[in-house]
Amino acid sequence: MNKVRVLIINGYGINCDVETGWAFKMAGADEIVTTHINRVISNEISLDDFSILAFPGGFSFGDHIASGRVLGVKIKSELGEALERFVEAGKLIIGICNGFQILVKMGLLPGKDGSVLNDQTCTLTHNDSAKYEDRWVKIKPNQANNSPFLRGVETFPVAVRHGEGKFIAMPDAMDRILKDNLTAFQYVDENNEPTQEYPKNPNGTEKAIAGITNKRGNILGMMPHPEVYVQKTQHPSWTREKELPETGAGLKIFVNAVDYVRNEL
Amino acid sequence: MIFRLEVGLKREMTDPEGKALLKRIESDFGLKTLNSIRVLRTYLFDIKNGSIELIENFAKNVVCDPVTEYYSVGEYEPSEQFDWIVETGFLPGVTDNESRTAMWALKTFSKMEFDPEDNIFSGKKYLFYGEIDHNAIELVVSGLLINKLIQRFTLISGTEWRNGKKVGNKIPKVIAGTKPKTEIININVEDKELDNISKSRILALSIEEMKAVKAYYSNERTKETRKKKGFSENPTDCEIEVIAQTWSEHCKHKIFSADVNYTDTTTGEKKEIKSLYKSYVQRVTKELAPEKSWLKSVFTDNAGIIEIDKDNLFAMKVETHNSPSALDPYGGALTGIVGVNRDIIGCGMGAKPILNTDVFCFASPFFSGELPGTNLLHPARIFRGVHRGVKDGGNESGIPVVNGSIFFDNRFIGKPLVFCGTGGLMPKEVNNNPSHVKKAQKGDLIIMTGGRVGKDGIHGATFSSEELHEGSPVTAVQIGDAFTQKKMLDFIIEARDSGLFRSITDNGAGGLSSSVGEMAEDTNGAVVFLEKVPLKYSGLNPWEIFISEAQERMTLAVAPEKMEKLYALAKIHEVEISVIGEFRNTGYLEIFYDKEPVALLDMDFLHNGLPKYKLDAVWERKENNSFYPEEYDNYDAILCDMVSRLNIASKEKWVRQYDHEVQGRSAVKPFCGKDHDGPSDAAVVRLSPFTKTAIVASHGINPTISDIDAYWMTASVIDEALRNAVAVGADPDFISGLDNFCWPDPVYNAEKNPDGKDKMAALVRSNLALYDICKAYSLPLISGKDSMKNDYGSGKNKISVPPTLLFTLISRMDNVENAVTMDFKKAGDIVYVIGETANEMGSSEYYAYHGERKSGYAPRVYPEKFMASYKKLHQAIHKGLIASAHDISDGGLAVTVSESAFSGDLGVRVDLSKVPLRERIERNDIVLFSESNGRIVVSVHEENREEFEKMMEGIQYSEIGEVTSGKFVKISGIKGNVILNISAATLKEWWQKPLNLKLN
Repeated sequence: MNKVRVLIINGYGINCDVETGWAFKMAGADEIVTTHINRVISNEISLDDFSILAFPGGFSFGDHIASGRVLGVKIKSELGEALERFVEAGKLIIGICNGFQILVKMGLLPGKDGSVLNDQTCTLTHNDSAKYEDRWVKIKPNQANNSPFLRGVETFPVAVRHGEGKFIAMPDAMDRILKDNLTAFQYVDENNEPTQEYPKNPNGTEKAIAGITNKRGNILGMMPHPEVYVQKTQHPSWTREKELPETGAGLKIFVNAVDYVRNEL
Repeated sequence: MIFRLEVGLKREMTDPEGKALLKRIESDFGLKTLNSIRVLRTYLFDIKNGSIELIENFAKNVVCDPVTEYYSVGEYEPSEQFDWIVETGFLPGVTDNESRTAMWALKTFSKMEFDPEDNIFSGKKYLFYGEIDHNAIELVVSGLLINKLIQRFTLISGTEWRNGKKVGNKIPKVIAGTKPKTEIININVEDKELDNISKSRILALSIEEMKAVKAYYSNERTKETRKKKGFSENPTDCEIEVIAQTWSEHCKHKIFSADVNYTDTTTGEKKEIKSLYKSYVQRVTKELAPEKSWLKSVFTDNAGIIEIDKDNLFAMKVETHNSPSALDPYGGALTGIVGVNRDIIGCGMGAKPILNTDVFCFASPFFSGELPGTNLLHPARIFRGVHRGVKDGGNESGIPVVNGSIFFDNRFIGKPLVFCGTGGLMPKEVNNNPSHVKKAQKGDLIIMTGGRVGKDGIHGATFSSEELHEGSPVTAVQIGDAFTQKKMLDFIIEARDSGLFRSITDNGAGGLSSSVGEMAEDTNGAVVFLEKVPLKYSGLNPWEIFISEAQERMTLAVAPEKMEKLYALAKIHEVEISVIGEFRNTGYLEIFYDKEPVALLDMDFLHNGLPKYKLDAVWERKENNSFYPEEYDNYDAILCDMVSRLNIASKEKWVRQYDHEVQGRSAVKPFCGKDHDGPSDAAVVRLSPFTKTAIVASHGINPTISDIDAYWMTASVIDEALRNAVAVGADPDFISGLDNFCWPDPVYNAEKNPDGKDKMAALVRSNLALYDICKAYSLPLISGKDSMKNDYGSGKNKISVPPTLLFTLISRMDNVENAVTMDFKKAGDIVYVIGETANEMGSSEYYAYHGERKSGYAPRVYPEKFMASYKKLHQAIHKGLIASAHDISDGGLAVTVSESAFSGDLGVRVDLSKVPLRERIERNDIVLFSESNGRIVVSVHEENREEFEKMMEGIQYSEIGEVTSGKFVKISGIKGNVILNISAATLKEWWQKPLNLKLN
């Protein structure tokens, strides 16, 4: 069994690092290191020592210019090779909210066959409502996507908290996403069907896409925040839904990541 | 060289910002002739060694999104026939966060050498398509797109553009004025001239205060010391400015420390009060403190600190930012929220903010009359701007807004009230030392960290006396920078945990003069070299550097041997730190600029030399009961109107835009109920997933009761805060409060402020109540603030805010899983009301609905009775007997049961004849809408009835009805006839309409 070491990036306005650490702790990770990206860039902390890398949510560079863009470009230019090694070794990367925006804008998601670092082919842009909103929606995993992150995950309620979450892909990239089943999650309605209807689909995203993976399935990016639904009392109506389980459904994604590294990597 | 870059969405993309603006223009100006608006981002580069290629590369690789956007280096030529172009940008010196990130990115990615003066200026360009005339577009620009205090614009019509007129590349660069210098001010002059000095330099010092300064400088000992240290006999400009700053109402709370003569004309009672603060605010806490070992630090630090569990301390502070929000609602509110965050970062050894609260008082956003002043902004604009400021400040800092409210009254048209609160956590010990204490030591270096210093906020919200020219930096308003502050916060928490500093405080009002001044009290002296302070732009005079309120800065005391590690940590976090001086024990604050003496400040005189105010307060009772509205057989339509009154209506659309869940602790969020849209009474914030302990945050505010008596206003808001907290499950034995006074000027002046004595009396009465009620509730105050000049205009035309106290309450629950929300849970549950209803319609929403604002009895508070029922309810909640609990406040019982019903997607049947009354009441409307304190509506499952009723024995409560599956609110009157029967869904629609749908 492998030791599970998780590296969580913070700094430059990332702000969901603590709760992302809690989620990995509850999922049973052996060691969690949360550090400023500059310590990884300077190699004071080596990416090679970890098997899971997390880019939490937040407002890197205050979302100035465009969300995730500036930090994405910085990471790509200064950590490109190390990231390439990491991904090629089959290790896991998760990007949530601003983390997803960073992964997309540095070209790591959805990626291309045979190369890790690519040009940006997709984007996350301003919600159709032109507003930042915090609300709970339902997301459904794509059964045809074989990513280890998604194993046994069922449709679940989760918070979205963003102003720029509308996923748009260039035509080629969208073809590849559909052909290779790279969609990870879609926003769904009360019948668990993907929806374009606001606010169930909170941002007007194409094909109701809430998250995607790369082809190998070891990189997951998603706008909703599973790290803050790891416990019953985080659900917005837990005081009335007595049948809710003690553990929040979002935890499964983190447990999957930890189990995969421990047993299969 | 100057280059222009413009970035816009590709034509086939919809433009959400343009669409939202179109909607707003329609609703604000009734203009329906516009077809569309496209919005572009503009960047003006002022780069000495720049080139087109550099800008092209930067645009392609960093600025422009390849999927959705196009860019143009140089002015973009739209191919379609647009009708107007508006370009907006900032004025010189205004914080421009977008451009700062752009400059950082340009430096980082080009790997080129840049000139220190190189800069980027961001702006926006709007292309309007459709019919709109010149006057109308100017109205849109000034009413929606810019604030002329901080922004500039260029307007070009489509025809002019096609004839060759362009926006051009004029940059808002700050042009340095004269060489920095220190002036000597001759104060050895007659009184009239002294007064002139105070007025012309906007010192806001009274003649008595100016004379005290003069006396100090004429003192032989002062003269001798100054001579010995190489200083002039007369004060320097910096000294005068620092004295004015330190002695300002804002810093010294002169009104709260004044000697007051209070007369109650009705009873003939007279009182002489030596300091309201010491006699009431501080005294109640002092008297309660011995029995509360969990009070760790009160009234001494930037925030109050309590022990929340065995490992953690919790710090809380609430601030106001009223005047800045009136001038620039966005910048004012943003600065307010990031400013109070710094109070938490700078309290004790530094706490990490985990929650924000915000409460606003505005005039109606639908106000349609003429604004009473030409420099006033419309209340809708203030609402949106303040909301956006708080939203950006909280969201970008990763601090959830967990609790708040908005109170509407048109007297806030001249001055909105913007309360921003922050709570933070810190471990009880850091590096084996208690974290709530700190002390600078002699020889420690003075470190300034975070942002740089500009002329921001010099003289607070008043304009600087400096002659304005085109290149003058804007000083009146500040815009916060959440990003810079977040970086600084991360750095400070790491530095704290590594033991790299000995003391810390924030730079707020008074800037360095106040932060260094405060910390220097630890060692009794300090020396500061102002040329070492990093500046945003050159040309600041030494005194300006010292008192500037430029944001995002903290001051640290650091032992010299820790500097190396501190520099290394700052480098990782990309946070600027500068050594600007040293703490000493000389008894003086000594300030130099390039070796020139700038100020020599005697610490004792600075803090104790201020003459005391003497104020008169005369109270005349106003309470009367002469208003009797018509009674009705049916109240369906009236209840619809009531739930859509602004003080009751849903604020969901606005609150949803705040992140209320970041950091993962929120257990009772601002919204609850079946569809997550019911209005929660209080916030429950769990310390972490690994403990069941939670913080409960609530508040009470109801300024209009002051129209009758500020005593009962104060008593009512304290009780409201407490019952809100108790309703969600807070422990009434673990409560602490924060008092924030926002008052109209209470200093009498026959001409300018003829009713000053009445306003002062209101302040006295508010303090009397604060003492009485907090004492009776065993509710210590841990922090507070006052803002005493909330008026607009003067004399007869003066508009004053009603005397307002915001009471914030911090409590705890041991087991978060017992928390209760306000939504009804299940049909068949029994509905009870706890507490008694009385004929207390004074300042009620119901009387206000009928246009009556002066008549009616003010709601009373009976602390012993109320506390007894709160304690019983708390027990019942912790036994799991309560399905829902909702406090009765604005709109009374009828509104409360309606909210619980529609939030639970259920109905309710209520029998008014069963409502416990404190006195004989024969009118249905009083029972429906009275706002008596001490009342909570609860629902209980039938199987818990017996145990609940047994537990509640001995208190005033009664079963009044049941939760129904029929989804109707059905109420029978005192005589048994049905007086109200309306669908909960209809009520919900009315409740949601005004602020969620009608206001864009």
